[in-house]
Amino acid sequence: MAGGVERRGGVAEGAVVSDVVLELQSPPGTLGSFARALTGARKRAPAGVSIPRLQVNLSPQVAEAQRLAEYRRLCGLRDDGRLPPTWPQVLAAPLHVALLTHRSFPLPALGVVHVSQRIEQLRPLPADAALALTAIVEGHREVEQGVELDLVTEARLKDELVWRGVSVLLSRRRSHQARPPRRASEQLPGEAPGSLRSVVWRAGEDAGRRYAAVSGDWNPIHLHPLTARAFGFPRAIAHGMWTFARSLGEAMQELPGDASEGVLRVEVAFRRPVLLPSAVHFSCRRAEEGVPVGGIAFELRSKDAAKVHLSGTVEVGATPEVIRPSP
Amino acid sequence: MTAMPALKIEDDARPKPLEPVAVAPPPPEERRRRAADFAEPGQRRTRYSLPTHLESGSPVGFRTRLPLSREEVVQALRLFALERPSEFASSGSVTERELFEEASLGVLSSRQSTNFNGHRQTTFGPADSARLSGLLRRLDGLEAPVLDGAAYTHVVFSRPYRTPFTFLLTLVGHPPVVSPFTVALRALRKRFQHADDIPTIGYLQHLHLGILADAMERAAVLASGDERRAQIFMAPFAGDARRRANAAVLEEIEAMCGLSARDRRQGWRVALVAQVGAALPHERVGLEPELCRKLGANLLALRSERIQPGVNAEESAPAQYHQRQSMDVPDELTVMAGRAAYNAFSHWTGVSREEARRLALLERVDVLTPNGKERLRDIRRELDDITDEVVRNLPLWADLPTGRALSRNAARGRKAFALAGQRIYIGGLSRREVEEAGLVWEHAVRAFGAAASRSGLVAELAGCQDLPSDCDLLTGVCLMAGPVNQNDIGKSFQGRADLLASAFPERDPTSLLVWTLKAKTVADPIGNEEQLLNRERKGALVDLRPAPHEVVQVVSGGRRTPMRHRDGKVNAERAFAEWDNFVVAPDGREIPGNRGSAWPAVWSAEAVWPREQS
Repeated sequence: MAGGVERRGGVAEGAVVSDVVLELQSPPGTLGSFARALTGARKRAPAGVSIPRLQVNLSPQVAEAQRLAEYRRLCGLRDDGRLPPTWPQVLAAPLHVALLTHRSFPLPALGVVHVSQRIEQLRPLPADAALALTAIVEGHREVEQGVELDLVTEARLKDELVWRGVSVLLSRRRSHQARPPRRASEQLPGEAPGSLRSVVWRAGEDAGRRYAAVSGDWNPIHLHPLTARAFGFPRAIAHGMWTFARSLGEAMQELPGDASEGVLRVEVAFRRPVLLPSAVHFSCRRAEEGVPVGGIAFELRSKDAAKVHLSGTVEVGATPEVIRPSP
Repeated sequence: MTAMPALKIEDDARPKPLEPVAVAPPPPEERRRRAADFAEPGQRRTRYSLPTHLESGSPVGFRTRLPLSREEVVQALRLFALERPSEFASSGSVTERELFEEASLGVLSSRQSTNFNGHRQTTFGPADSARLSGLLRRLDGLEAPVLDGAAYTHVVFSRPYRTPFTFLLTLVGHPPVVSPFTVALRALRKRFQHADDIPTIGYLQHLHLGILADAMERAAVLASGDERRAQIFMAPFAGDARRRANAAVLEEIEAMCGLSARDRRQGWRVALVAQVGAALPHERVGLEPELCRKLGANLLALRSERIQPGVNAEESAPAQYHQRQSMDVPDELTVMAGRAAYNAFSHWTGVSREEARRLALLERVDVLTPNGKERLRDIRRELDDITDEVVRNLPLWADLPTGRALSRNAARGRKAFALAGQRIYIGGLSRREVEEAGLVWEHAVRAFGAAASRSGLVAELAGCQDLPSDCDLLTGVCLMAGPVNQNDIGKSFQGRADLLASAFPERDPTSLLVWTLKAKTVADPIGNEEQLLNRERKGALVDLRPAPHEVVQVVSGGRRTPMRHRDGKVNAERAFAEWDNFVVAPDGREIPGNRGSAWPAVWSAEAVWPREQS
């Protein structure tokens, strides 16, 4: 791997399980990764084999000011001199792609869907923070739709753990390529009362390309109707992380005034892709049953509020409860 | 060049006090609300359905009226009898939020024809305001003293009124055979010389300005919690002679605002300047800050829906629209509406109230009387005849290729001339009399716009007094130029008389606006011309009101910046939202996007001109 070193760990008894550790000085290019993703499309995991522990470490990186400014503009985030809570996930995206397209990763990277995301930011991060990143994937869970796995990302500032994210990914079984069934949370037109914010945004046709330029995620499904159709989508779809960042930025404005100093915990579930171009409806409301007290629940829906694109919560706590992968 | 005389403000131009008039609601069993709901999946959406969503940067949104107590109305009526400030007190800093809210009640929501945005505003801070004061003092025709110490100054530009309706007008009134040439000639004159097809289209620009001026005067009070007042100038910018006399100063003002050559070709011109400053303690209006905000939310509600005071008796209308209600517009309210009109005309022209009563020609048609019904029938017949002749004479070479769309649209205008209501005012001026009184015609037309608007507002405010919870409103107003425009087509091309000719014979009247008052409890469907004309938007309800960044720019530190356009964000906030008067379905469900999203608190709390504050 360019600019890095690959190490292999021990071999356990029974099923073949290898530890692979990639040490990188700079973020890997995504072009090579996508090429490996294309050639690895026919991968099949042998029965009984789990996903080995694969890890990639990236030396401390400082966000380029211009890139960060453009990211904020795209996601509607105010420049408060700090890194947006979603930024480490953006920085880590090339690491994730490198892991998912590694030869030791047994599943096809193409078709892996980002199902949900949890983030815990232990303290606010200055915009010029030099973050060292680690991304780990290990093991999987069998679910109805296929194989689910956790991709854990950690960010450290001078050896101090300051940010942790768990991305839940789904590798669908062939028989489950169809649309997810209608969920109970989808509702008739109109919006339930009690919203703190309710606004319709427009996601332009070029939203995927603009976000790709900032994030480095050039997955063809986000770029153009033609490239998206090659992968089964009727039009290009927005990056989940873009819709998430935009929604989170809006929702965080409803947190208490001193929220910027506490431990930030965010959870989001991605339910339905946002086709480009389209208008989507964002709303958020105060904690209710099932949502942390003092937290904000947010949703991104179709413009008539009938279909859910994503739903999430954000809260600020005093005590870090370091999030862990699902059991 | 001979300086044109400034207007003399007559001592007896003081407004006559307005009194609150209660409108009796009907018996409880007759009370109805609009109770609009979302169309269920598979159900056809109609004009009576709630929109599926609102995508808009406008601060208005879809609102409902808030009930006002009699005491609150008494206080609010002071806003309709403002006198000009005599001077400004020293001013503290102005926050971004205050400026946004003031614009929300001014240029961002001022009544205009529903599918037209004809105003732009540039706002300057204290330092530039001092420079502008110097420029203003060089103007001929000032109607009031220029004040020192303005906290900020708005310069408003306006442009000629151009919409799909005026496009259609290009084809009206041409002799056959030569129409291809005369239509082309008129189109070129409209495009390059900003000529108007009929005079009343040209007047619309000025009527809108007068309405805006009246709104901005109130906006300065309400947005500042009764801390500030506005001194507004229109006269130096009205009329060709005044504009020529003031050309050098206008050029300097335009340069300060960054008016481009392209803007000028589109017809944008300086039309109004408003100095805003801290009110002297004894010149404050006397409104509680909380009431200021409640009135702000209510004024936005009045601008939120296009109220049509007629009964929507079409078969597709829900049941609540079919039932007549035992309600009348009290005669006292009609009197107050008239008084408000005269107050406004006197205020903006500087003539005495008596002179205002003489110059402002108001014909009152009481539909509840036999004579009134007959008069209304005559008007409708006349306007229908004009429409029929227009449709007959539309050039076939233009109409046929469009599948007769042009004549269909022309015929659709009949709905706009329905003139349903209980009390109807047809208003106008006599150009001859206005000019004999020493007024510039365009300026008088602006003052008349203010008069009509204020008259309607007084009636709408009465409709909120002691509003029962099972009513949307108690009185509605529809302010229309449609009947006047149609009449003007008849005058210009068919040899017909003015609408006001029978009421004011020998005075050569020019009708300018019609406003109808109706007592009812059911608000009418929201709608606008764009929705009717644009198939893709049918049922979706288009909000054509502008977002702040589209029409307002703020000059600070030498830079002109669109209002609320920052770091890729634009406004999605609804002003005065804390009053929560958003339209909801009967089960409480809200229109997605209607409530909006507040501008970041850190930004809205910032001082707009931190380095320039004294």
